[in-house]
Amino acid sequence: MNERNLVEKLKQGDEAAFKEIVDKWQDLVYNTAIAIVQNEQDAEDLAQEVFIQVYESIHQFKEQSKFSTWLYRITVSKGLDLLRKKKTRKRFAFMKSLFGSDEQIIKEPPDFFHPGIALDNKESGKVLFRAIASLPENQKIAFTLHKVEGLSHQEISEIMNTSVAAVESLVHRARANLRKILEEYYRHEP
Amino acid sequence: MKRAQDPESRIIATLNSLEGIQRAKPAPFFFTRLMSKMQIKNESGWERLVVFITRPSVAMVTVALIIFLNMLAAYHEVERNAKTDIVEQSYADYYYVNTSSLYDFENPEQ
Repeated sequence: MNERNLVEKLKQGDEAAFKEIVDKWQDLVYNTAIAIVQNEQDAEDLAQEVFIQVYESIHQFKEQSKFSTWLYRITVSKGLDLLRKKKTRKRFAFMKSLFGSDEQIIKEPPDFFHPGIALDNKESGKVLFRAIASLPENQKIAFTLHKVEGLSHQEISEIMNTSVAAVESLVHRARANLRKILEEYYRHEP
Repeated sequence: MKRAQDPESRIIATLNSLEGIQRAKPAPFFFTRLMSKMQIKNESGWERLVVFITRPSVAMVTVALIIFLNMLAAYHEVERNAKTDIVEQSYADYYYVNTSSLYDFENPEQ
């Protein structure tokens, strides 16, 4: 069944079509999610939330873009929401600790190793993902979609609702910022 | 040793470490877990209430609460009866209103 038929069937409430959609696009959603949130459990939850939203709001998909573009948009949006929530929780816990609350400050997440990186690149991949996490949101998304999902600037511009030139600029600035972060990191590395 | 002498090449290697990256895949049975999550989300309010009420801990707390409220009500009832008796008795004493029976009327001389 092609993409258009699957979407039509899902709009009619066909659960078999939903299963086929999940089977077909679960790797895309999960891989994007794990690259954004950098945690396997969060990525699993996020991927589930994405497909729940697809099921609930398929009628809002107007087929003006590719289905995968719509999926990327939902994943990116939900991923960024999750990161913001985690950041807020961390700040709140820190503030509470300042006022003498017994609650411990949320610890830094453990090192993230992307499961798709070759073994001999694992260590440098870990360092790079830590640096990516500190980039501004737009740069982070553009760079991640380009490098981890292998999308073209054109595809990223459709997902991010921006121009190709803007995406090129975002990826370029992301790379420059990553270089600065890595220079700092390797200068102070024990 | 080589790493410490050549930070530039390390930076380049790190920036290029995503070359050839494979897609990460979710754990097997993703769809099953997804359906289970959707089912939990779709349960109606009544279904969730029944599940909540039938939890052993909730049932035991509810029974204990009912027993406690019954005991409290019984205690207050006993206390209220005792107070009413005292008030009635003092009222009778004050107005010389004693309990009379038919025997008292038939034998006024006693």
